[in-house]
Formats: sequence, C-alpha cells, structure tokens
Amino acid sequence: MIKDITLGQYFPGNSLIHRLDPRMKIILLLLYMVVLFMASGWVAYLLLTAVTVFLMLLSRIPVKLYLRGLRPLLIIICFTALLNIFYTSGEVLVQFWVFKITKEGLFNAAYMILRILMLVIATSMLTYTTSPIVLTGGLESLLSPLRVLRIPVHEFSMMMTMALRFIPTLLEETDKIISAQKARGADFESGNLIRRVKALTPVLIPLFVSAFRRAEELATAMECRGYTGEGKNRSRFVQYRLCLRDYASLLFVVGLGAAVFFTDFLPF
Amino acid sequence: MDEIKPILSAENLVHTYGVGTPFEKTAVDGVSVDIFPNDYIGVIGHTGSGKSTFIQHLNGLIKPTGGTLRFQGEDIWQKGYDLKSLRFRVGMVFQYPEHQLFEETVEKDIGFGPKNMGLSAEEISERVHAAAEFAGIPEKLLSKSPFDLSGGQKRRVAIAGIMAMRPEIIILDEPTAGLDPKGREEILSGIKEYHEREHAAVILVSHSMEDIARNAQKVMVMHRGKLEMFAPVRDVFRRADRLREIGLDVPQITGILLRLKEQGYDVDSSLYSVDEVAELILHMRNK
Ligand SMILES: Nc1ncnc2c1ncn2[C@@H]1O[C@H](COP(=O)(O)OP(=O)(O)OP(=O)(O)O)[C@@H](O)[C@H]1O
Ligand SMILES: [Mg+2]
Repeated sequence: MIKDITLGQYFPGNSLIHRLDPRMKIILLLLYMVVLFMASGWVAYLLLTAVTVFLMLLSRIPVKLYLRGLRPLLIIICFTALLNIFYTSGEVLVQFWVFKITKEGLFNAAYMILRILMLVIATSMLTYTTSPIVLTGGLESLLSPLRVLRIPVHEFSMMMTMALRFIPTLLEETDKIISAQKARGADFESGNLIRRVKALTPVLIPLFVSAFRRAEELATAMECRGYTGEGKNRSRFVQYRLCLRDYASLLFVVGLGAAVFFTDFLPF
Repeated sequence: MDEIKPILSAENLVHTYGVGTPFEKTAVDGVSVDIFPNDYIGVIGHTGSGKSTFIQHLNGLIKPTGGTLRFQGEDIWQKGYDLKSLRFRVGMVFQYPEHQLFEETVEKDIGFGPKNMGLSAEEISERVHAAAEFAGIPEKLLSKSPFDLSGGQKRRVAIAGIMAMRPEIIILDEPTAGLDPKGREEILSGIKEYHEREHAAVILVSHSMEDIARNAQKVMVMHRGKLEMFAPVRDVFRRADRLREIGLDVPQITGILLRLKEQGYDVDSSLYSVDEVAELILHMRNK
C-alpha cells in the first residue's frame, strides 16, 4: 500500500535521545558529521563505531529499523567499496589480470563503508526520534537569525509544518480513493504507459478536489483564529529550553571529536 | 430441499496492519462468518473495532494476514483468481463515498463501474437509469456535474455508481453518516428496495442502532477486532447489558421496553420496531 512509503519516519518514544532539544539534536548531528570526516585510522573508526552502536541502543529504536533505512543505499555502498578496493595504490596483496588489491585499498573500503553507514544511521536517528513538526520548529528557531536578512523564516517553517502535517493525510486519502475506484473495477496495473496514466484520472481528480477543500478549510480556520503570519507579538506555544541533558550531550560529542582528533597522534 | 450454500464465507480471518513496525495493530482477529444470498446483515461495533477493515476483505481490497475468504466456495486469494470480476459481484460503498466522484456528469460517474465491466453503451445507459431510480436521483440531475450537487445528492450518486454494477452483494460503510433524517431514510429505503428487487445480500455498517434494527435481519457485533456476536437482530438486542459494556447501545425503543420491564411490566423486550411496540403498549392500556 501507498502508506508504506516512509518519509523521514518518526517513531514515538521516550528515550534520552527522544527527549533532547531538537535544536541541539540538529547541531549535534552536524558536529557528528564533521567528526566522521575528521576520522582517520582504525582506532578512530573503532571508537566511532562503538559510539554509534551505543547511541542506537540508547535510542531504543529496533536495530532492524536502522537497517531497513540502509537498504536503498546498498548499491552505492557496494560500488564505493569496490572502487576503493581496486583503485588505491599501496602494498599489493592479491593480483590478477589488471586488478590489484592492496592493503590500503581494503582499509579504505572498510572506512568508506563505515563512514556511509554511520552517516545514514545518525541522520535516521534524528528523524526517527524527532517528530517532523518538532524538527521544523527546531530548524525555524536555529534559522531565525536569518530574519535580519529579510528571509521569511517563519513563513517557510509554517509551510513546511503544514506540508508535513498533511503528507500522511493525503497518502491515506489516496489509498482510500484508489480502493474506492478499484471497487468500481478501475484497473491501475495493466495496459501501456498512456493507458496507465489515463487510469489515474479517477484518482487524481478526487484527490485534488479534496486537497483544495482541505486547504480552504485550513485557511479559514487559521484566519478565524487570527493568524496573520509573523506578527511582532507572535509567541510560541512550545518554548525550547536547553537543559542539563542537552549540554551533557554536547559535551559528549565534543569530547568524541577531541578523542578522534587525538587518535592521530597515537603511536600505532 | 437443497441446502443453501453461503455466497461469501470468512474463516478465521485475521488482519494485522504494519507487520514488523512499532505500529503493529491487529484490527481483525479471527472472524468467521457465512453470508447467504438474500441476507441483510448489520455490522455494529465501537469506533476502531475493525468493521471497516473487515468489510474491505470481502471484495478482496485487502489481503488477510491470516485465514481464508471464499466466494461461492472458492478461495479468492488462490493463484489466478479473478479479483476484478469479484469486485463487480461484491459491490462496496465506502465511508463518505461522495469523495470519489470525478466524472464530468452524474450519468458518466454512475456509469464508470458498468463501463469497466465492458458492457455495451445501451446496457450501461439502462443500468445507470435503473440505479439512479433506486438511489432516488431525479432524471434531470443526470446531466449535471457531480460537483454541483449537495452532499446528500452526491452520496446517492456514489451509491448508485455501485448499484449500477448489479452486485450480488452490496456492502455499505456508514452510508448515512452526516445526513439529515429524511436523507437517511431515503438512502436506506433505496438500499432495501435494491435488496428486495435484485435479491442481493446487503451488509450495512452503521452506528445507528435504529437503522440496524429497522433494516437488518442479522447483526454482527465487533469488539476489538473479534466477532463478539452474530445472531438475528432480536437476539442481539436482547443482550443490552453486554452491548452497553462494549460501548454500544440498543435502539431507543428497546431501551424503553427494558425500563418497563424493570418497573415490573410483563413485556417482551426483544421487540425493536416502533410499530410493534406501539401496538403492545396500546394493548396493555386496553387491558
Ligand atoms: N490503514 C491502516 N493502517 C494502520 N492501522 C489502521 C489502518 N486502518 C485502520 N487501522 C487501525 O485498525 C483499527 C480498526 O480500524 P477500522 O477502521 O477497521 O475501525 P472501524 O470499526 O471501522 O471504526 P469506525 O467506526 O471509527 O469507522 C483501528 O485501531 C485503526 O487505528
Ligand atoms: Mg470504519
């Protein structure tokens, strides 16, 4: 079913990571990416892998779900790994025909795979543990300094929030309309491309009609409650406040960065 | 006499949404029922009890995660089964069906199903007019755009669109939700007429105990995905206590009889039609 498409899916929970301030989570993700790209040498990668696994467990989200998020990237990962194995020069381990496998190549490939895996897992962790609405709220708050440059941050974030809010609704609606038209014998699966596109009319028209109806209702409801965009006195219902766990997590990631940086100076 | 065979039978039907995700939810849990030709079955149950999920199995729109569904004895999920023609024989009217109208005219929209059946133009036109009559749509509306109609009229057009396929079973998910009393009555009597004239089985999901009492012969009571009761109307509404326990009620008229009984009157609380009860009360007064 269409609803199975997941878009940055959120899994409600109450773990420490779920409870972190969304702004801090975004910053931490960026920092973590920097650390990832700073890493070199097996000690650093070992450390990072251990930390990533630790965080995955901490988030209380089934590891299965993280792995599912990786599935679409499998080809890219394999491809990069192969490139690295064959195109890194260094101490030759195996050689056949024009191919050479070097020790450095193997290491590079392993590092590359780990790097991609951890990048995807960290990003998934942000979307899995933060509801989209909270995430946009956090982004809006982080980007609000841009308002000085007359960039309508609030309006963008409101649009984003509404779009996110209505994606599941529209998907559900699409599902229902498809079922209803199937019940009248509509056929979406057979025929050539033109026929299939034509077969979508009975779905698209009701979908647009309902999307416009919803948009109109929403606009009316917002107007009735006096929404006028970014007013001077507009305050937020949810006030973000950094607390101890946020600072502690920042310290943790900064510490991790420092540790990774110093592994370079280790004698092995 | 020949034994009458069920037209549709569900055997231990189970449906779990979102298998393997944290949102896993068993919406239908081991439901077995036999539906016979000419049955008029009411389906009641609290919000979220799995009514809509259950009925969508009946024409193969969703695949059960467990159990089997047979139409005229054949498993509809066996390989090579023609689900498309099953859907012409088991008609399904969804909740708020007016949201699926899309054609330029009412006539074309009602004719969408018959057209997909591959019928000739005359046959389509004949069926469209007959279905419009069942659903109480005046001839002059047929050439209008469905988007220019009132909510109740749209609903009728959508129902006519299913009736025009002449299904042997017609399933309706809360067809009267959000209509005024007259609109409800008209839609229900149209369905009854179709049931009688075409000898079709009807499955009606409704939150109105009155509508169920007045129209159905048997009632399925769903509770948390399970089939709590499946019995003739009288027997179901006799168990008022259990119904109230699971968030349902009995028709008002049955409620009155139960109260009379509590007061010590000797009445038969299994009556549920207003006429029967009116007669009973008149009779008691004359005694
Ligand atoms: N597409 C879906 N994906 C996941 N869960 C669903 C889906 N549809 C229904 N459910 C869940 O299955 C359960 C049964 O839903 P269903 O729609 O069958 O109830 P219902 O008896 O028709 O309720 P109502 O009287 O409100 O229409 C509910 O808990 C609902 O949240
Ligand atoms: Mg329902």
